Amino acid sequence: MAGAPAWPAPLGVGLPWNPDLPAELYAADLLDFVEITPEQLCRQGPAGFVLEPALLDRARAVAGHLPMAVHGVELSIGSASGMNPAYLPMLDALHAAWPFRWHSEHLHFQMVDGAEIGVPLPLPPTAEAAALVAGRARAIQARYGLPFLLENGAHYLRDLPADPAIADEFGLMNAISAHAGCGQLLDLHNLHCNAVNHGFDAMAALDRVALDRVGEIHVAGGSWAGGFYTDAHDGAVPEPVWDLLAAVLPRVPRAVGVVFEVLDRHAARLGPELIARQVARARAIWRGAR
Amino acid sequence: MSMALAEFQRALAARILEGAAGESGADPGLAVTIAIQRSWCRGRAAQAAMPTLMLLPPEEARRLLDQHVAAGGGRASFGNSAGMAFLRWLATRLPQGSPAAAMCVVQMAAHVAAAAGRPMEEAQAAAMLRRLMRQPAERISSAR
Repeated sequence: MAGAPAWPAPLGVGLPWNPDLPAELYAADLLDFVEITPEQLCRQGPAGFVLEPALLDRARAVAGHLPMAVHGVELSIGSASGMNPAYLPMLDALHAAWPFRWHSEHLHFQMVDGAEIGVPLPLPPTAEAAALVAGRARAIQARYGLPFLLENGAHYLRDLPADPAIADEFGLMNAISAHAGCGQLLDLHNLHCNAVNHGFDAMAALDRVALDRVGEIHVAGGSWAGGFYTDAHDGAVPEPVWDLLAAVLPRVPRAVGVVFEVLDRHAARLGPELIARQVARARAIWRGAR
Repeated sequence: MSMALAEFQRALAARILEGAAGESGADPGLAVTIAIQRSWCRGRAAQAAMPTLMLLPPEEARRLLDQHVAAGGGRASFGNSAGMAFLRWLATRLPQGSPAAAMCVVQMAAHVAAAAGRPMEEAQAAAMLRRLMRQPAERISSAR
């Protein structure tokens, strides 16, 4: 990644921070890093969103011994009318309190004219969208002097407007990362969802990804709703996603690690044993490829 | 591309917020996106207000959640803002003097205390709830 900040050495397998999971899951012999969604550590203060010391202290007490990366969800980097103005000041505060090694966000928009929509939505693969996000991603990467990654999203909409030169979600992500000098977070479950719902071959689609820019990989589980396979983060990783992981890991030399994602509200139902098994399987594939 | 990015985003957001997925020939992916948006909004609102909602008959809790989300509630996903907004909205709709109304007041007070950097302790919350439950309905109402 020419022109980009120095990339961290490979670590291995990580897990998102979830205060309701047993602390034992964050032991150094099971995990190599922890991923923090900073919005989870915030409360609404009189002058905007602020870090909640009690939430931050709890996270650091349990997972502070691990290298930490940030995975944000609220930036809305693709909103034409402006990003979420509360996000970066909050991230500044987190970085000052608990420095992260790299950070990532989703390539989507979820605000319009300053109002939240309540769900992330895909960007159309157009030159305008690529230029908008690339400029912002470049500035964000410079702000922290750390690698910044954008994650490919799952979506269910057909016939997004497209420019022929960009063509599709892969063209959009590659154009942004090339122009911004930022990295890519390759979410294999999102890729699997889009392949199932939009009818393409996920394994073949890996050839369309700029794999030399992939800095991190996500795996997760999902479920069916309304005739679509959804990125629900509510279960074990499906076999096709494990196959994608095994196929792609030898081809992403800059990848720092793999994260198994599960939503907080599903983690208790799934239980720590299942989560530990997913982490162990990811680790086995990681080690086999390295 | 025939539509500028801002125009595309406003149009898509409007269709999702209006729940406009039912027209003939509409993208079936729009319907599932709308369903996911409603589900997430319900989840954000309900999560923060669970102690209050659990004191209501399930049908009533569901009706209030649906009504709140249909009115645009639960979209704010940063911090606890969606939950606090739902509690404020609930407080004007719960039967005066009911256990749920008292719990709602306690939950709002806990949110305000946390926002001021002075989190309410469990014993404080329990004492406030006991005090409210001993008060006549009109005083619980005015405590909001």
